[in-house]
Amino acid sequence: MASLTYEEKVKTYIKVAFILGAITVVEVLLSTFPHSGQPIKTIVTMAIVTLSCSKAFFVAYYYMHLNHEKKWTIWVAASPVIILIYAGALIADTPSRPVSVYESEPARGIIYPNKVGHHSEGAEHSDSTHETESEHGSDHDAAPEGGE
Amino acid sequence: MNLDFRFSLVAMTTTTHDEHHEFAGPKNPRTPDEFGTASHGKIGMWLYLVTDAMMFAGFLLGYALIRARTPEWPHPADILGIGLSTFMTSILIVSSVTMVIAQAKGEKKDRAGMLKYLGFTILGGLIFLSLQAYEYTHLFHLGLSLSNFTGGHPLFASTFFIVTGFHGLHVLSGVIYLIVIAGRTAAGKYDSGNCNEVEICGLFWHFVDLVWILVFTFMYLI
Repeated sequence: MASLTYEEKVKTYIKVAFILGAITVVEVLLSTFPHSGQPIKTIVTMAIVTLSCSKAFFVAYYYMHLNHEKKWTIWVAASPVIILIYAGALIADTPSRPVSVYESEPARGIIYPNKVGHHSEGAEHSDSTHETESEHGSDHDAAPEGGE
Repeated sequence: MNLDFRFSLVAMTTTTHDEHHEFAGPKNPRTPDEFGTASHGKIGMWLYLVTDAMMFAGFLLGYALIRARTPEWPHPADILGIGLSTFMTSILIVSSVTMVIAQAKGEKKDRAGMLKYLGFTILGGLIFLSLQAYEYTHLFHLGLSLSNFTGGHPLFASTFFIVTGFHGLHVLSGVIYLIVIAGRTAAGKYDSGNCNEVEICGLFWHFVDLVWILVFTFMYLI
Protein backbone atom coordinates (compact mmCIF):
# COMPACT_ATOMS: atom_id res chain seq x y z
CA MET A 1 0.00 0.00 0.00
CA ALA A 2 2.75 2.35 0.95
CA SER A 3 4.35 1.78 -2.44
CA LEU A 4 1.33 3.15 -4.30
CA THR A 5 1.08 6.83 -5.04
CA TYR A 6 -1.91 8.87 -3.89
CA GLU A 7 -3.26 9.05 -7.44
CA GLU A 8 -2.98 5.29 -7.90
CA LYS A 9 -4.82 4.62 -4.64
CA VAL A 10 -7.66 7.01 -5.47
CA LYS A 11 -7.94 5.57 -8.97
CA THR A 12 -8.33 2.07 -7.50
CA TYR A 13 -10.90 3.22 -4.92
CA ILE A 14 -13.05 4.92 -7.53
CA LYS A 15 -12.79 1.97 -9.90
CA VAL A 16 -13.98 -0.34 -7.10
CA ALA A 17 -16.85 2.06 -6.32
CA PHE A 18 -18.03 1.86 -9.93
CA ILE A 19 -17.87 -1.95 -9.79
CA LEU A 20 -19.92 -1.90 -6.57
CA GLY A 21 -22.44 0.45 -8.19
CA ALA A 22 -22.72 -1.74 -11.27
CA ILE A 23 -23.26 -4.88 -9.19
CA THR A 24 -25.94 -3.07 -7.18
CA VAL A 25 -27.78 -2.13 -10.36
CA VAL A 26 -27.68 -5.75 -11.55
CA GLU A 27 -28.94 -6.94 -8.16
CA VAL A 28 -31.86 -4.52 -8.19
CA LEU A 29 -32.77 -5.50 -11.76
CA LEU A 30 -32.64 -9.18 -10.84
CA SER A 31 -34.85 -8.58 -7.80
CA THR A 32 -37.55 -7.11 -10.06
CA PHE A 33 -37.40 -10.18 -12.32
CA PRO A 34 -40.87 -11.76 -12.42
CA HIS A 35 -40.86 -14.79 -10.14
CA SER A 36 -43.05 -17.13 -12.09
CA GLY A 37 -41.76 -20.52 -11.04
CA GLN A 38 -39.87 -21.93 -8.10
CA PRO A 39 -36.69 -22.99 -9.97
CA ILE A 40 -36.30 -19.53 -11.49
CA LYS A 41 -36.94 -17.84 -8.17
CA THR A 42 -34.28 -19.97 -6.49
CA ILE A 43 -31.75 -19.27 -9.23
CA VAL A 44 -32.40 -15.52 -9.08
CA THR A 45 -32.12 -15.54 -5.28
CA MET A 46 -28.83 -17.42 -5.41
CA ALA A 47 -27.51 -15.01 -8.05
CA ILE A 48 -28.41 -11.99 -5.91
CA VAL A 49 -26.79 -13.48 -2.78
CA THR A 50 -23.64 -14.35 -4.75
CA LEU A 51 -23.42 -10.82 -6.16
CA SER A 52 -23.96 -9.40 -2.68
CA CYS A 53 -21.15 -11.53 -1.25
CA SER A 54 -18.86 -10.39 -4.05
CA LYS A 55 -19.64 -6.77 -3.11
CA ALA A 56 -18.79 -7.50 0.52
CA PHE A 57 -15.53 -9.06 -0.64
CA PHE A 58 -14.61 -5.98 -2.69
CA VAL A 59 -15.23 -3.70 0.31
CA ALA A 60 -13.15 -5.87 2.65
CA TYR A 61 -10.36 -6.48 0.16
CA TYR A 62 -9.83 -2.97 -1.21
CA TYR A 63 -11.36 -0.50 1.26
CA MET A 64 -10.40 -2.39 4.42
CA HIS A 65 -6.98 -3.05 2.87
CA LEU A 66 -7.01 -6.81 3.30
CA ASN A 67 -5.09 -6.95 0.03
CA HIS A 68 -2.11 -5.54 1.93
CA GLU A 69 -2.48 -7.49 5.15
CA LYS A 70 -0.62 -10.58 6.28
CA LYS A 71 -2.14 -14.04 6.20
CA TRP A 72 -3.18 -14.08 9.87
CA THR A 73 -5.17 -10.85 9.64
CA ILE A 74 -6.96 -12.24 6.60
CA TRP A 75 -7.79 -15.45 8.48
CA VAL A 76 -9.13 -13.46 11.42
CA ALA A 77 -11.20 -11.26 9.10
CA ALA A 78 -12.60 -14.26 7.25
CA SER A 79 -13.43 -16.26 10.39
CA PRO A 80 -17.13 -15.18 10.59
CA VAL A 81 -17.85 -17.27 7.49
CA ILE A 82 -17.66 -20.25 9.83
CA ILE A 83 -21.31 -19.47 10.56
CA LEU A 84 -22.07 -20.85 7.10
CA ILE A 85 -21.50 -24.33 8.55
CA TYR A 86 -24.13 -23.64 11.20
CA ALA A 87 -26.40 -22.12 8.55
CA GLY A 88 -26.00 -25.18 6.35
CA ALA A 89 -26.98 -27.49 9.20
CA LEU A 90 -30.07 -25.43 10.04
CA ILE A 91 -31.13 -25.08 6.42
CA ALA A 92 -30.78 -28.83 5.91
CA ASP A 93 -32.96 -29.37 8.97
CA THR A 94 -35.64 -26.84 7.99
CA PRO A 95 -37.76 -29.02 5.68
CA SER A 96 -38.33 -31.53 8.47
CA ARG A 97 -39.80 -28.88 10.78
CA PRO A 98 -43.42 -27.72 10.86
CA VAL A 99 -44.10 -24.37 9.27
CA SER A 100 -45.38 -21.42 11.26
CA VAL A 101 -48.95 -20.75 10.15
CA TYR A 102 -49.99 -17.17 10.66
CA GLU A 103 -53.52 -16.60 11.84
CA SER A 104 -55.25 -13.25 11.70
CA GLU A 105 -55.49 -11.39 14.99
CA PRO A 106 -59.22 -12.01 15.63
CA ALA A 107 -58.71 -15.69 14.89
CA ARG A 108 -55.98 -15.85 17.47
CA GLY A 109 -58.18 -14.00 19.94
CA ILE A 110 -55.67 -11.21 20.41
CA ILE A 111 -56.71 -7.61 20.88
CA TYR A 112 -54.04 -4.98 20.70
CA PRO A 113 -54.63 -2.05 23.10
CA ASN A 114 -54.07 0.58 20.42
CA LYS A 115 -56.53 -1.07 18.07
CA VAL A 116 -59.45 -1.80 20.38
CA GLY A 117 -61.79 0.54 18.51
CA HIS A 118 -60.73 -0.84 15.16
CA HIS A 119 -61.27 -4.45 16.19
CA SER A 120 -64.32 -4.11 18.40
CA GLU A 121 -66.28 -6.42 16.17
CA GLY A 122 -63.26 -8.66 15.97
CA ALA A 123 -63.38 -8.91 19.75
CA GLU A 124 -66.89 -10.28 19.60
CA HIS A 125 -65.82 -12.62 16.90
CA SER A 126 -62.83 -13.70 18.93
CA ASP A 127 -65.04 -15.18 21.66
CA SER A 128 -66.65 -17.57 19.23
CA THR A 129 -63.29 -18.29 17.67
CA HIS A 130 -61.88 -19.08 21.03
CA GLU A 131 -64.63 -21.57 21.64
CA THR A 132 -63.79 -23.14 18.33
CA GLU A 133 -60.17 -23.37 19.34
CA SER A 134 -61.15 -24.97 22.63
CA GLU A 135 -63.11 -27.57 20.77
CA HIS A 136 -59.99 -28.39 18.81
CA GLY A 137 -58.01 -28.66 21.97
CA SER A 138 -55.88 -25.59 21.20
CA ASP A 139 -53.46 -24.66 23.95
CA HIS A 140 -53.38 -20.96 23.08
CA ASP A 141 -52.83 -18.99 26.23
CA ALA A 142 -53.48 -15.58 24.66
CA ALA A 143 -56.98 -15.12 26.01
CA PRO A 144 -58.67 -11.90 24.81
CA GLU A 145 -59.89 -10.72 28.18
CA GLY A 146 -57.04 -12.11 30.17
CA GLY A 147 -59.18 -15.16 30.64
CA GLU A 148 -57.01 -16.77 33.29
CA MET B 1 -1.12 -18.74 19.96
CA ASN B 2 2.43 -17.54 20.11
CA LEU B 3 3.94 -15.23 22.69
CA ASP B 4 4.18 -12.16 20.46
CA PHE B 5 0.51 -12.34 19.60
CA ARG B 6 -0.46 -12.69 23.26
CA PHE B 7 1.75 -9.73 24.04
CA SER B 8 0.07 -7.68 21.34
CA LEU B 9 -3.38 -8.44 22.80
CA VAL B 10 -2.23 -7.31 26.25
CA ALA B 11 -0.57 -4.23 24.83
CA MET B 12 -3.80 -3.22 23.08
CA THR B 13 -5.45 -2.72 26.41
CA THR B 14 -2.60 -0.76 27.91
CA THR B 15 -1.34 1.39 25.03
CA THR B 16 -3.14 4.69 24.75
CA HIS B 17 -0.98 6.22 22.06
CA ASP B 18 -0.11 3.97 19.18
CA GLU B 19 2.65 5.29 16.98
CA HIS B 20 3.34 2.16 15.01
CA HIS B 21 1.79 2.02 11.64
CA GLU B 22 2.76 0.81 8.24
CA PHE B 23 1.22 3.72 6.36
CA ALA B 24 2.80 6.30 8.52
CA GLY B 25 6.45 5.69 7.96
CA PRO B 26 6.65 4.56 11.58
CA LYS B 27 9.53 5.66 13.77
CA ASN B 28 9.44 2.44 15.76
CA PRO B 29 7.54 -0.20 13.84
CA ARG B 30 6.22 -3.18 15.73
CA THR B 31 8.39 -6.25 15.30
CA PRO B 32 6.89 -8.07 12.32
CA ASP B 33 5.06 -11.25 13.27
CA GLU B 34 2.13 -13.21 11.85
CA PHE B 35 0.21 -9.92 11.59
CA GLY B 36 3.05 -8.13 9.82
CA THR B 37 3.49 -4.65 11.24
CA ALA B 38 -0.24 -4.09 11.78
CA SER B 39 -0.69 -1.90 14.84
CA HIS B 40 -2.18 -3.18 18.08
CA GLY B 41 -5.22 -1.01 17.54
CA LYS B 42 -5.81 -2.39 14.09
CA ILE B 43 -5.61 -6.00 15.26
CA GLY B 44 -7.97 -5.13 18.11
CA MET B 45 -10.47 -3.53 15.73
CA TRP B 46 -10.39 -6.58 13.47
CA LEU B 47 -11.10 -8.85 16.44
CA TYR B 48 -14.01 -6.62 17.46
CA LEU B 49 -15.38 -6.59 13.90
CA VAL B 50 -15.29 -10.38 13.81
CA THR B 51 -17.50 -10.56 16.91
CA ASP B 52 -19.82 -7.94 15.48
CA ALA B 53 -20.00 -9.79 12.18
CA MET B 54 -20.99 -12.93 14.08
CA MET B 55 -23.81 -11.01 15.72
CA PHE B 56 -25.15 -9.72 12.40
CA ALA B 57 -24.73 -13.19 10.89
CA GLY B 58 -26.84 -14.59 13.73
CA PHE B 59 -29.54 -12.00 13.09
CA LEU B 60 -29.63 -12.68 9.37
CA LEU B 61 -29.61 -16.42 9.86
CA GLY B 62 -32.48 -16.17 12.34
CA TYR B 63 -34.37 -14.00 9.88
CA ALA B 64 -33.77 -16.48 7.06
CA LEU B 65 -35.02 -19.41 9.12
CA ILE B 66 -38.14 -17.61 10.35
CA ARG B 67 -38.89 -16.61 6.80
CA ALA B 68 -38.27 -20.09 5.41
CA ARG B 69 -40.78 -21.57 7.86
CA THR B 70 -43.46 -18.95 7.31
CA PRO B 71 -45.35 -19.49 4.04
CA GLU B 72 -47.32 -16.22 4.30
CA TRP B 73 -44.17 -14.12 4.22
CA PRO B 74 -44.65 -11.21 1.80
CA HIS B 75 -42.09 -10.25 -0.81
CA PRO B 76 -40.20 -7.43 0.98
CA ALA B 77 -40.01 -5.20 -2.09
CA ASP B 78 -43.83 -5.12 -2.29
CA ILE B 79 -44.06 -3.51 1.14
CA LEU B 80 -40.73 -1.80 1.72
CA GLY B 81 -39.95 -0.68 -1.82
CA ILE B 82 -36.35 -0.75 -3.03
CA GLY B 83 -35.88 2.73 -4.51
CA LEU B 84 -35.04 4.46 -1.25
CA SER B 85 -32.93 1.60 0.10
CA THR B 86 -30.95 1.43 -3.17
CA PHE B 87 -30.21 5.13 -2.77
CA MET B 88 -29.19 4.52 0.86
CA THR B 89 -26.83 1.77 -0.34
CA SER B 90 -25.26 4.16 -2.84
CA ILE B 91 -24.78 6.75 -0.10
CA LEU B 92 -22.89 4.27 2.08
CA ILE B 93 -20.72 3.07 -0.81
CA VAL B 94 -19.80 6.66 -1.70
CA SER B 95 -19.07 7.42 1.97
CA SER B 96 -16.69 4.43 2.02
CA VAL B 97 -14.86 5.94 -0.94
CA THR B 98 -14.58 9.34 0.75
CA MET B 99 -13.30 7.59 3.89
CA VAL B 100 -10.41 5.85 2.11
CA ILE B 101 -9.61 9.06 0.24
CA ALA B 102 -9.50 10.90 3.60
CA GLN B 103 -6.98 8.36 4.82
CA ALA B 104 -4.92 8.71 1.64
CA LYS B 105 -4.97 12.50 2.08
CA GLY B 106 -3.75 12.04 5.65
CA GLU B 107 -0.86 9.89 4.53
CA LYS B 108 0.01 12.72 2.13
CA LYS B 109 0.00 15.05 5.17
CA ASP B 110 -2.83 17.08 3.65
CA ARG B 111 -4.81 18.10 6.72
CA ALA B 112 -7.34 20.27 4.85
CA GLY B 113 -8.03 17.56 2.28
CA MET B 114 -8.40 14.96 5.00
CA LEU B 115 -10.87 17.13 6.91
CA LYS B 116 -12.85 17.75 3.74
CA TYR B 117 -13.24 14.06 2.95
CA LEU B 118 -13.95 13.15 6.56
CA GLY B 119 -16.68 15.80 6.39
CA PHE B 120 -18.13 14.16 3.27
CA THR B 121 -18.10 10.80 5.06
CA ILE B 122 -19.90 12.22 8.10
CA LEU B 123 -22.41 13.87 5.80
CA GLY B 124 -23.02 10.53 4.08
CA GLY B 125 -23.68 8.89 7.44
CA LEU B 126 -26.07 11.63 8.49
CA ILE B 127 -27.97 11.43 5.18
CA PHE B 128 -28.26 7.67 5.62
CA LEU B 129 -29.64 8.08 9.16
CA SER B 130 -32.09 10.75 8.02
CA LEU B 131 -33.35 8.53 5.21
CA GLN B 132 -33.72 5.63 7.62
CA ALA B 133 -35.76 7.81 9.98
CA TYR B 134 -37.92 8.89 7.04
CA GLU B 135 -38.37 5.27 5.96
CA TYR B 136 -39.37 4.18 9.47
CA THR B 137 -41.94 6.98 9.71
CA HIS B 138 -43.38 5.93 6.38
CA LEU B 139 -43.56 2.28 7.46
CA PHE B 140 -45.21 3.17 10.77
CA HIS B 141 -47.98 4.79 8.75
CA LEU B 142 -48.29 1.61 6.70
CA GLY B 143 -49.00 -0.32 9.88
CA LEU B 144 -45.59 -1.77 10.64
CA SER B 145 -44.20 -1.54 14.13
CA LEU B 146 -41.68 -3.48 16.18
CA SER B 147 -44.33 -5.91 17.42
CA ASN B 148 -47.08 -5.77 14.84
CA PHE B 149 -47.94 -5.55 11.18
CA THR B 150 -51.53 -4.88 10.26
CA GLY B 151 -51.03 -6.13 6.70
CA GLY B 152 -49.42 -9.47 7.39
CA HIS B 153 -47.24 -11.55 9.64
CA PRO B 154 -46.00 -9.49 12.64
CA LEU B 155 -42.59 -11.13 12.46
CA PHE B 156 -42.03 -9.48 9.10
CA ALA B 157 -42.05 -6.08 10.80
CA SER B 158 -40.21 -7.25 13.94
CA THR B 159 -37.29 -8.77 12.06
CA PHE B 160 -37.06 -5.79 9.73
CA PHE B 161 -36.88 -3.21 12.51
CA ILE B 162 -34.51 -5.25 14.68
CA VAL B 163 -31.96 -5.91 11.91
CA THR B 164 -32.07 -2.49 10.23
CA GLY B 165 -32.33 -0.70 13.58
CA PHE B 166 -29.28 -2.51 14.92
CA HIS B 167 -27.41 -1.53 11.77
CA GLY B 168 -28.65 2.05 12.16
CA LEU B 169 -27.14 2.15 15.66
CA HIS B 170 -23.83 1.13 14.10
CA VAL B 171 -24.10 3.97 11.59
CA LEU B 172 -24.82 6.39 14.45
CA SER B 173 -21.79 5.08 16.38
CA GLY B 174 -19.69 5.41 13.23
CA VAL B 175 -20.76 9.02 12.71
CA ILE B 176 -19.84 9.87 16.32
CA TYR B 177 -16.52 8.06 15.90
CA LEU B 178 -15.85 9.99 12.67
CA ILE B 179 -16.67 13.31 14.34
CA VAL B 180 -14.11 12.54 17.06
CA ILE B 181 -11.49 11.65 14.44
CA ALA B 182 -12.30 14.81 12.47
CA GLY B 183 -11.82 16.84 15.65
CA ARG B 184 -8.42 15.26 16.22
CA THR B 185 -7.52 15.89 12.60
CA ALA B 186 -8.44 19.55 12.99
CA ALA B 187 -6.21 19.67 16.08
CA GLY B 188 -3.27 18.51 13.97
CA LYS B 189 -3.00 15.09 15.57
CA TYR B 190 -2.25 13.39 12.25
CA ASP B 191 -0.06 16.03 10.66
CA SER B 192 2.93 13.68 10.84
CA GLY B 193 1.24 11.42 8.30
CA ASN B 194 0.63 8.71 10.90
CA CYS B 195 -3.00 7.89 10.17
CA ASN B 196 -3.27 4.70 12.16
CA GLU B 197 -6.28 5.94 14.14
CA VAL B 198 -7.96 7.15 10.96
CA GLU B 199 -7.45 3.78 9.36
CA ILE B 200 -8.92 2.00 12.40
CA CYS B 201 -11.95 4.28 12.29
CA GLY B 202 -12.15 3.58 8.56
CA LEU B 203 -12.23 -0.16 9.25
CA PHE B 204 -15.33 0.32 11.38
CA TRP B 205 -16.98 2.54 8.79
CA HIS B 206 -16.30 0.12 5.92
CA PHE B 207 -17.64 -2.69 8.06
CA VAL B 208 -20.89 -0.75 8.48
CA ASP B 209 -21.02 -0.44 4.68
CA LEU B 210 -20.24 -4.12 4.21
CA VAL B 211 -22.97 -5.20 6.60
CA TRP B 212 -25.51 -2.93 4.92
CA ILE B 213 -24.71 -4.58 1.58
CA LEU B 214 -25.83 -7.90 3.08
CA VAL B 215 -28.77 -6.42 5.02
CA PHE B 216 -29.98 -4.71 1.82
CA THR B 217 -29.88 -8.03 -0.02
CA PHE B 218 -31.61 -10.12 2.63
CA MET B 219 -34.15 -7.61 3.94
CA TYR B 220 -35.12 -5.82 0.71
CA LEU B 221 -34.11 -7.66 -2.45
CA ILE B 222 -34.84 -11.34 -1.97
